[in-house]
Amino acid sequence: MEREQGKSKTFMSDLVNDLKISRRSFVKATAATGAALALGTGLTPDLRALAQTGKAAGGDMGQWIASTCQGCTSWCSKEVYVVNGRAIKVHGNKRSKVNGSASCPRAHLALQQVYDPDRIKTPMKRTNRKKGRNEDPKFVPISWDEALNTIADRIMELRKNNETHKYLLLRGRYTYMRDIIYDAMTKIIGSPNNISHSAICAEAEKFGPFYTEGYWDYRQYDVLNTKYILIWGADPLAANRQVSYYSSVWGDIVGKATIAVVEPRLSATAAKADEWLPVKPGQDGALAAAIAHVLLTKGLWSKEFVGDFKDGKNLFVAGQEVDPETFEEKHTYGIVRFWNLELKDKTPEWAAERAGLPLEQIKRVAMDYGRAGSQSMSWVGGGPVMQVRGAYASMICHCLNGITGACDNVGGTLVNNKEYTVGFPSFEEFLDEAAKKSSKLAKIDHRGRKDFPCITSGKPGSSVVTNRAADGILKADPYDIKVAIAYMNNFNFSCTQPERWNQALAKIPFLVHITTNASEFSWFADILLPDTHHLFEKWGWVKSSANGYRHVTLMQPVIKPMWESKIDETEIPWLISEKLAQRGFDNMLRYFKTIKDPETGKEPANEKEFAVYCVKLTTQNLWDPAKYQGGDKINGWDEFRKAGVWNSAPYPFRKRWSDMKTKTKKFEFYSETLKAALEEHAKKHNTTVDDILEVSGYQARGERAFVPHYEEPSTLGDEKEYPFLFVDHKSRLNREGRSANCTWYHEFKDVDPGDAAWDDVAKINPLDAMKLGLKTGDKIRITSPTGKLECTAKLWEGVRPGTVAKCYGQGHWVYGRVASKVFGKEPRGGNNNEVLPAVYDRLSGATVRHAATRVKIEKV
Amino acid sequence: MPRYAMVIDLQRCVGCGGCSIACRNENNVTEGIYWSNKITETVGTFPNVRYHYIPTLCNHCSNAPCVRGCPTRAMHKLANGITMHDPDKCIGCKYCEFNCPYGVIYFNWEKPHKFWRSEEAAIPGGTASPKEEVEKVGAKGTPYFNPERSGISAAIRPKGVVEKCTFCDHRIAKKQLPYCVEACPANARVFGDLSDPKSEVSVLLGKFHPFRLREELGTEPHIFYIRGYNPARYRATKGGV
Amino acid sequence: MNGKNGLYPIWLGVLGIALMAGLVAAAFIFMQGHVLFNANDVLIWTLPLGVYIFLALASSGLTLLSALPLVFGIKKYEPFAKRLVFLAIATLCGGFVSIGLELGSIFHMIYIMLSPNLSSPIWWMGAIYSVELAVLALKFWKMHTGDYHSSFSKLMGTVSFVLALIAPLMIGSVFGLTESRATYFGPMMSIYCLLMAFLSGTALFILYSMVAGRITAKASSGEYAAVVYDDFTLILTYAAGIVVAFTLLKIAIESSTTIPAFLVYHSFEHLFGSIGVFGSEVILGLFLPFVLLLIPAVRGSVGGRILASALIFVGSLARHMEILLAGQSHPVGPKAEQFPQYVQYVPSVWELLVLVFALAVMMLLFTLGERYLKLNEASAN
Repeated sequence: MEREQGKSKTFMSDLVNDLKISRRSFVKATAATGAALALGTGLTPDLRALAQTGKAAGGDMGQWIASTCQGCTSWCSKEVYVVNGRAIKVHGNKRSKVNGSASCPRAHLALQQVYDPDRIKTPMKRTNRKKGRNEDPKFVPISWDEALNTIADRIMELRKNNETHKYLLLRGRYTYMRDIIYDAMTKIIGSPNNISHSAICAEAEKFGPFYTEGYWDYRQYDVLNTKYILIWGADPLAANRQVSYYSSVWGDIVGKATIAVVEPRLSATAAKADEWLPVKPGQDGALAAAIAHVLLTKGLWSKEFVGDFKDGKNLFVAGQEVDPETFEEKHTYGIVRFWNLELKDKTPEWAAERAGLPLEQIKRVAMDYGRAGSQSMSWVGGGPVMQVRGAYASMICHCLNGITGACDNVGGTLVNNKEYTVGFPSFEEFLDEAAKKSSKLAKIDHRGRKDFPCITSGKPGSSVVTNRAADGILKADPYDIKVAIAYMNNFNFSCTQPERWNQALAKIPFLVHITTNASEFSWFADILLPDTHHLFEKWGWVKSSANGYRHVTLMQPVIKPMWESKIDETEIPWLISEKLAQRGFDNMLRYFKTIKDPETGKEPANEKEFAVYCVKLTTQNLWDPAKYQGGDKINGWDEFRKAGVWNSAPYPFRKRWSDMKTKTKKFEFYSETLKAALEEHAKKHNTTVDDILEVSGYQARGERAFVPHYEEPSTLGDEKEYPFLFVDHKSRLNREGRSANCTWYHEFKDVDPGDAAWDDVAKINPLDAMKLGLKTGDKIRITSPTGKLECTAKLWEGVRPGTVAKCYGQGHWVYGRVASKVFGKEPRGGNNNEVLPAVYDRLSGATVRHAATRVKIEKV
Repeated sequence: MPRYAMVIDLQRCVGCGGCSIACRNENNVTEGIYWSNKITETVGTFPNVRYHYIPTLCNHCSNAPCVRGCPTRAMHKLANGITMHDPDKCIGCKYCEFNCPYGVIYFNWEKPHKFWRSEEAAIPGGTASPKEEVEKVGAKGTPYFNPERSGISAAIRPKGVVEKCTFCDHRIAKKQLPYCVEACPANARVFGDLSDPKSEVSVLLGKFHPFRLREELGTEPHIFYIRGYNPARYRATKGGV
Repeated sequence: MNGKNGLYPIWLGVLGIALMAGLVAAAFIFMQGHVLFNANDVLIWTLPLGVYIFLALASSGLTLLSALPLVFGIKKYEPFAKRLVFLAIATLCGGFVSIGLELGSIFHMIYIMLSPNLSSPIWWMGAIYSVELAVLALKFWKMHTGDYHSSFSKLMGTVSFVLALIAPLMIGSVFGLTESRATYFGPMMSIYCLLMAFLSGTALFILYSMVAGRITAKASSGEYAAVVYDDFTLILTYAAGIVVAFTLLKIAIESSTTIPAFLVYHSFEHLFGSIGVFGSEVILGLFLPFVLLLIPAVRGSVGGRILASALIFVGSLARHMEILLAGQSHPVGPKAEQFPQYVQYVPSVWELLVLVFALAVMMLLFTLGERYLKLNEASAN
């Protein structure tokens, strides 16, 4: 179909062409096609029906069709402008009460992703048996049939040899269709090993909220009603989460509320802030403790939420213990023990020394924060918590919301609203004996081991340690992995110390990668399967919250999927299940057939129907008026597709006061919930909580382990050899590390304060640069004890002296010809993960990114 | 006849660059050319530092030096105040670009969208060449080519002529806002008719003390800036000796 | 020139190769665009434009010089009038080659006539030089046919003189009207261009005459010519003196102002290096030859004249380039976001080929004119 254009275009014919082509005729031609397009001739009948209802202004050639952006985990509802079957523009779906019509800059880059010429067109197989960083896989195209047969054969071989636990599913960016491929498929095959990506860049920040207020998720922030916003290592104007929403209201907020940003480099949010607190990396907890100290000593806690001294006299005096009996608590638990165990000595003077901030500023911020009362918020992002002892920083930063009574309150921090989607039908009856047995074996990521408590939601060994799986695979600990399927992930790029992943992946005998682009991960794969792009080509839905609402937003194919790509979470499992059934193992296909069209009761006949029924079934409560439970009223499936989004009811403030999912139902300053979890884990390993904390690398012992508290940072590298602390941050244009192959990413990279277009810079304070004899534009090498990267020096005042700040997102050596300097060989820029060590916050399982390592800088 | 102008509220602006990327998208602008751009500045010395961002675009000056200097009237004013460029008449002398005090005019040094004309594939047979991609979706120039970008200016400007922001004349003709205005997530851009005292822009200009870029040149720019990028509070002080 | 001279075919061969190279370069530029130049959206105008200014001004200078006999009736210079007019034509043709390759869309030039903009100095510049070329051609044709003094011929002479006065002023005002670039703004550039036109035109004439005389061994035939060349050398000395004075004034003003644009201008790294506040091209291309010309022995010798006029002539190209680049080296407004603080420049091969092409056309015309058009000290019948 693609006619090979004669390459030997002659010099003269080009010249003649250039002279001959009249722009007017070009315009006329496009206008003529435009007229035809307006009739929607390019759309499939299905999409055409949908498009006809889309509102189009006079003279428009196309239609806006709803879908969802997963460029980051804001998960905004979008509309895509489609002309003649081509996606042309993206904007916010105004029907969403979460993001409205606002659209952050990275959304536009999705267009360059879906039409990325470096996307794989067809399934491919590796022809070079050797696997390694420097081994070209020599991929050759194969048919879907051949690819699926090969995969089914390998799975059947595991089943035949009774080693189905050696099957591994690695998950990356997902929708709530994930349960098909991640959960059901893995378990029906008979493996415990479904490993998600979650811990690469999150989890620790959920730890604090869970062990204080029993909520394991991202919070929403009632910014429109607040008076003080204290942000810890989050950059809501640039990166996760709800960037579109916060961008849309920030101009009003900066006029109404005081904004203080704690971060060692001047972030996009800090640029518009009242206070910038460039804390020494890893010392956030010290600052938080001092603020808590001031709030209590100055009597600025919420009497309504926390309670008060029985005789009304403030006994919180620096250095003095308080008798718990003197205080009457209301909706909280353990404020006095918190004071006695942690806060009484944590004066601003004490914090100023550690945090490297002016004493006056700490006092001012603490007082102003307290004076804002419950209309204040402590907004905890990844910065202070994705650290080796980040779990406790997460607690102490978040607990300020309890002290001021901002938790669940107007102008404070909120949780998710209720939504009414449902899960898939149970697959229990489709698990055979072998599957039931082997799916209970220990997982490859070592979660739940003595030194990896990983206590999500109070359950030890429940949270994933994504990055640890590499070590499990490498050391065949607890066993070797023989067949792995991975989708929309790129762990040997996105995890710290990625060389371990390179080695681990090279060791897996049969690796399948479902991906849009041939990525670093793909380089080690035996089979590549072309994946759909979530915003334009996929069926699915996701949910998220902001603005006091939660939305469930739909993904639907707004264009015909490019080339031969298929949907990772539904279509591909279906196709594999068909092949397995042909080989005599039909449990999975039979299970999939229980997912029927809720409107007609029809079983899916093929992968395409299956993909749609999965979405319809799980969202039925939202669009089927007969099953209405709350929020937006939507009249049927077609209307849901047109709207693209369902919104919850408004936020019910203070409903959770004294009804939290903690042991005491209160906001716990002394966490009985954490105590129970740690004790359960210790019991499992026949030891003490102190021992668990010791082997997991925490400093607290005894009772202190159960209150939010400051722990010293644990940073790799000797200060003499490695003089700089490495500060990692995210870009406004990162689409989770997948946008570096878009030219627009590089053209506009300088929208990140301090960064430069078409470059990857390490931002260095001019004082430090002077000592090193560096100037802007110098090529430098950054070396840590575990790795090195090369990039460009940028002298910038917005960086704390003694630190070097660099944005994550570049340094791809595959992925595409824009992302890499030489595809398959040389990276463009440097990947921060190369210098970051594979260390963890072991209570949450989170991978550490901040205050992780020291580095040295050399000119190259 | 309306006199179009834009008010940019710097306090609302979050410096995200969404305007500039959306503009690329809407107007099929090739790499290296910025119809919508910015002026940034990091002021102060650590730790007293802030970063400031001023979005920029063609100022649609009343006394436009680019229009005065253009030998063929390719660069011209429309009755509604838009400074418009007709690539058919442009001889490519670049005098407008030389003359523009605001650095918003660019020249097409080569045939645009070079990236998309490449015939090489990363993995032969397994991935597409950019050219193949464009042909596959039946587009021109880029796969996401916007055919609605038409009018006096071209859908894609050829090599050898200059180009710049046209206030999205093709959208205004359809009663739609310029795309940067629509795309701005922060509502920092307000567009309207300056000759109408009731328009949003007139109201805002009466409420604040706006400034314009290089006003001293007498070009009468029609991009007005109000408020400040960082309206930070501070405790009252008289300083000290 | 003498056909028997063995160097002649070699010379023609060299010109032929240069022309071919120029034509190939032109074809590539049309095909691939001006991306072949080391120009960008900060350094918008580079060597080809500098060459155009240089040659156009020299042509105007030659025309002005030709006005001494043709307009002001100074009889003793009349034998040189035809050659001066021809040189002006040839030089202007070279300039047109250069500007033609500088323009992005030369085929849209028709709109100069269909859609003129009378407020544009570029329009006036283009129009004046086009008319100038036609007028010079007519004048030359008249002179070639022996008509020096008919009222039409005289009219052509007068018109060409007036145009040659205005044209450099127009080139100057292309720069002088840019409010955005303070270093150019005002009448300074126009005056400078007019002075430079006269200086470089005179230098070219002397250089050409001396070199042609050496080669053909008969150009400067006789005492009569020698006296006249003494006069021209003196004119050159005066012209250089005026330009020296003007340059000193310009540099004095530039170095004492605090206007930021000039401060930026100072930090520009001089393309040809600098000595103190003076660029090397000013020292070597103006001050040095001026000093040389003040020395009677140098002024009187053919070698000295060749050296001084060559320095001035080549120096004027260098000075035009320096002024052109210095005023553009700093990105305007938001362009500073994507471009470095100062943009450095070295011409690309293609730009050098444009220079070669322009000079080759000019010199081929010189050569052919000298051979076929009886330029040698012709005068009225």
